[in-house]
Amino acid sequence: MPRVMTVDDSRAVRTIIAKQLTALGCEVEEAEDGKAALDKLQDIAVDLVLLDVTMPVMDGPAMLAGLRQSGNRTPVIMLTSEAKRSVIAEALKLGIDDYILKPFKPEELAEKVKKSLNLAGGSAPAADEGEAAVTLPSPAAGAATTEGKQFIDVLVVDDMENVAKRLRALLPSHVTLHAVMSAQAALAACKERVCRVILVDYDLPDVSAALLSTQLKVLQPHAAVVALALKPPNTAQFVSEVQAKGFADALYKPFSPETMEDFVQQYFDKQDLLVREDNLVRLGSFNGKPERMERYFTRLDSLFPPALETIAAACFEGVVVDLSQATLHPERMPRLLASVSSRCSNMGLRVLVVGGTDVKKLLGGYEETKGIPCFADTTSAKAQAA
Amino acid sequence: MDVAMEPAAKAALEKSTGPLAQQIEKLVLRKIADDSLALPALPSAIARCMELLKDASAEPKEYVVVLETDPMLAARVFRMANSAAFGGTQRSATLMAAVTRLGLKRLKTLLLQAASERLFISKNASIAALAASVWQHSVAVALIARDLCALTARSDSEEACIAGLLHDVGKPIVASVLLEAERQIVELRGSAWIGSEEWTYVLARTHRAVGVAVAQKWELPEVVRTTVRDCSEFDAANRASLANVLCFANALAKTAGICPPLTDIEDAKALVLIGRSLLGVEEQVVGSLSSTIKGRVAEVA
Repeated sequence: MPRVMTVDDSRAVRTIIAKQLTALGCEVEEAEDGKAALDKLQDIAVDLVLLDVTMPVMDGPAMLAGLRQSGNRTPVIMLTSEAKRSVIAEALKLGIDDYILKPFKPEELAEKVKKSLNLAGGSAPAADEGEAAVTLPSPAAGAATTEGKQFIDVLVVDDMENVAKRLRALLPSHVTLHAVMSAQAALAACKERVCRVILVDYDLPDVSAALLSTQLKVLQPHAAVVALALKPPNTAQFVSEVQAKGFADALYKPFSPETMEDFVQQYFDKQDLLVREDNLVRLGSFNGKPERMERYFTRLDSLFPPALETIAAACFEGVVVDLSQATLHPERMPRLLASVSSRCSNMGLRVLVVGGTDVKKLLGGYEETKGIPCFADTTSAKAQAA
Repeated sequence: MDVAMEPAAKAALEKSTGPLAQQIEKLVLRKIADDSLALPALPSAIARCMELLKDASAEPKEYVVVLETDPMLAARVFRMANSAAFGGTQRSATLMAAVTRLGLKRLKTLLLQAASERLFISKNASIAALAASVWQHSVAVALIARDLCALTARSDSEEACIAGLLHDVGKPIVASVLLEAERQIVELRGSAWIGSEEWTYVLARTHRAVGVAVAQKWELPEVVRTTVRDCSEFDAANRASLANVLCFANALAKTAGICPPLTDIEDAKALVLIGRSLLGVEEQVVGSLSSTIKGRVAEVA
């Protein structure tokens, strides 16, 4: 149990502090002035000293100087109503860990004491700016999290009201959206809800978007924070710029149905397009416009390799690809399966397909795919692939 | 006073140079009062635009008419409207398009920034370097103060930004008065006047009052004037004051390395420590503000 000494000439203050420290799991020692504290510290060791400045007999700075002169390096937090810079600057030179101005909130005392004592719950250092990996929480639009917080799919932070209106009009109805117009409202929303994607206007008038993005990521570590901006002439350069500032990506205004379709696919439909359970890979169907079909297959092309690697790493002998819900394009689907088959062959995996007669017919039409066994249901296919 | 030195030396300097600082302050303020010190006026185009901004019914074309009278200012509006953040694939070809794209709130900040920046440009080589570094520092303080307000549920981020830009505006003005005095003394006596420590001390002691006078002359809001006046020290009795935000932003900019010459960093560190507790700023926010400010100042200043 960490031992903390509170040095203050006010008994009331010492009592309040002792109560709060005890609640944190600390053992508390009290001293009414600097001299009494130094005397006690000759007999006992403590892990932290909370030190007032103005006290009779010996004040805080004199006690701190005496402590350091004796070679005692115990962490000290100044807890005082003294806000004079010269006093605190001198204390800093002698070595104080932190400073709390009276009157103070119990949370501030708890946070700073925990930090000094290296206890869990003290404020952590800022997140590594280079950290770019974004993991999305499970899609559960409208549902409540285990902490009772409400899920929202998209949080929009933009001072122009019509931006959120336009987004609402273009996003599918199952994608939930919440709009705020200021940094303050965004931070409040992120404390109350769990977001999957946060769209932040890159040019908010009252705050640096990059700074706000950093703060939002602290509150929503699993959300993808995306910069909203007018489309620049060089998008690749712009994406690099926003990524260097901590954004996951950029989304350009004005929004078009095509860009929003890509956005939805990227952040919300990914799991539905390809779902893996053990060695079973289910492909979802394509519901967009016919001219966007190529994007569906391109997306599947990119989703297959990591799924296959996971299956191979788990030492399965075969992969079952369930096509019963998939969109069976007469040329694109065989090409996809040929590519998957080739990749599996290199990894030492067999490919088995689940589908009806239309799938069997499709596979039989091409040299590269006609050898892939096709089953009517997943149970029998999985039995073969085990 | 935020000049780096030991307490004993500081006390000695205060004793020896305090009266001179008082005299200079009185002199400068008297010159301001009787209009004999050429305080920079708010450029006419900016003054007219600021008037328009107070008029809710003003149309963008009215701003365009005024901006067209100041080519430098118009160029600045174009540059911002066509910057990466605003530009998009379509460039603003007309001033009307540029003003519309920026929006009135951003236009106001841009105008005040342009007006303030002109005060920090000196033809005198002795002051130019000081003025340039004070300008960089002022932009940093303005950005930090603005962001801090936006992130801590305050509605006065715009005033914080303006006060940040102007909090040190008295420095180049007092410096020019000091230089002129020095020039005359050297001519009369043939010897140097005061050393660099005394020079910096007098500047630190007197510049705030001159900043307030500039804010007054430009008819900036009362809160901006009081903020510039009171931002040297924290007021623990009035924790929520904008002056406290500015005092913290000022110290944080210094500890982040964007500071005028001879800044006392230990003093600034103490102010950051006090300000964090006084304003209830989380350590993580302080870290983000500090680590990003240099890059952001480079983008703006």
